[in-house]
Amino acid sequence: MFGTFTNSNQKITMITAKNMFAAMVSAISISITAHAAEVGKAAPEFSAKDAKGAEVSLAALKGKVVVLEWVNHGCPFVVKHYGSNNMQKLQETYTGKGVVWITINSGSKASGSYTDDEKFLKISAEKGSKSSHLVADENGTIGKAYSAKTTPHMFVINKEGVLVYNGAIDSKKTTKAEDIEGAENYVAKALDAVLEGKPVATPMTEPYGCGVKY
Amino acid sequence: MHKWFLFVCLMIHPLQSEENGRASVELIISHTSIEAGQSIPAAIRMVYEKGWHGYWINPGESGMRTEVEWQLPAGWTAGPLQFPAPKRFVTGELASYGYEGEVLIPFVLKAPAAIEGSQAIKGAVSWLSCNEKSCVSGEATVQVELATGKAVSGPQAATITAAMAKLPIVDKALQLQVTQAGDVVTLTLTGAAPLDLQEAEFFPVTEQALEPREVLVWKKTAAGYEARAKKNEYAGKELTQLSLVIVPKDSQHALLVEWKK
Repeated sequence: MFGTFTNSNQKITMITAKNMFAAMVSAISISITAHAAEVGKAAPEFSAKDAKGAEVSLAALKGKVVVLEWVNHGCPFVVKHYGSNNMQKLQETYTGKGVVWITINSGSKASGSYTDDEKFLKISAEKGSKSSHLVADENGTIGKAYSAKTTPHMFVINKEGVLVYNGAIDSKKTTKAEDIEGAENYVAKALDAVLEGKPVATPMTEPYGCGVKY
Repeated sequence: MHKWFLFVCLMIHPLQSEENGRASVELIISHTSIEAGQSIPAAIRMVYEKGWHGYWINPGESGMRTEVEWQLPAGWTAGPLQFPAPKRFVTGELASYGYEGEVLIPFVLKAPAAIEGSQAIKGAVSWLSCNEKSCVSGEATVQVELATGKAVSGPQAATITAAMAKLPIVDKALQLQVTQAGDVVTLTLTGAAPLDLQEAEFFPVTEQALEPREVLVWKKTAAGYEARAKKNEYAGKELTQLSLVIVPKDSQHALLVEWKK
């Protein structure tokens, strides 16, 4: 439909298209800005309703350190970190230091790993989750904006809204809880650094786990 | 009476086969009796339930390779698991490498210089099985009692020998060269004249080397073949080594090529 515009008009066309896109996305409950999640750059914006119905928007969290955790309680790698209480301890320790922890399930309804708000709240309560917000991202909008690959897959965003860590929870790619103790916890290290205003030594690792069931 | 009952139970449910994690796992050994100092072939036999798959040595973007933690008698050694060529699985948007149905993962078992009596060859196998919707982990202890003294081949010998023969082999005539520019990795294979690589499948043994979602397309050149691949986003500045398994179409043998900077 824009094919007939000349070069001089292309700028206008693009702006119009962008506005249309913005208008389209604002109509759905989860909205994002379209740029990739790259360490050292602004983390993709998103806003969504959490499982309790509260609005969560990354833009509104400027000034706070934010953790994004991708979850699927049916995945053995997630079971490793929740069954051992490792994830809950991390959540408790860092939310205690003012960090906002957002736990996201991007599993689609078709995949069977989707949990509606009520079920998400129930299962998280049963696991003793200390996360600040639970978000059911059923269309995978946030997941795809961040290229969340596995459960778990962890992201740390600093107070300025810059992505400072993207990757695995720790260094041992197994489903065994006994491997947690000897592993290097990249998320804890990234958070400690960010909270002290220092650069993150290992800002990117390959996440391990079950594939996110988009 | 009690002993007979136990014997019958063992006949029905052999101890070396365990089922959980959507797969059955078994330890099989080529011999029923081994000589002192002898090395013999053995294998971990996995059978995944229909619709489920397990993982290769490089699992790809998700998943986990099958591993064994050996609990062997003093002086015994088990060599590394030798994974046969995998298949590619794309679940969601992630590419992984693994197996469905039955797979035999061979290894070499070596007896110490001095042995006596029957010995328990035992290990804890851990694996992950996934389908389109979910993943489950499996753990099982596998065990085989092996007599010692003289070498006696067992009923599994032919099966294990066949599995060993199917493993990717190093073809010395085939040379892999790698050049890199930014995120583009150019692979050159020379000395591959008798093979039709255009329809071959390629799997990177080296983890975090090549972008797993990309399927390599090889072009014939004067010297051999050339393909361009995207560097894996976790590879760091540049690749320093790369091993590839090549499965030529209609060929019995998977090949292993290796490059080091």
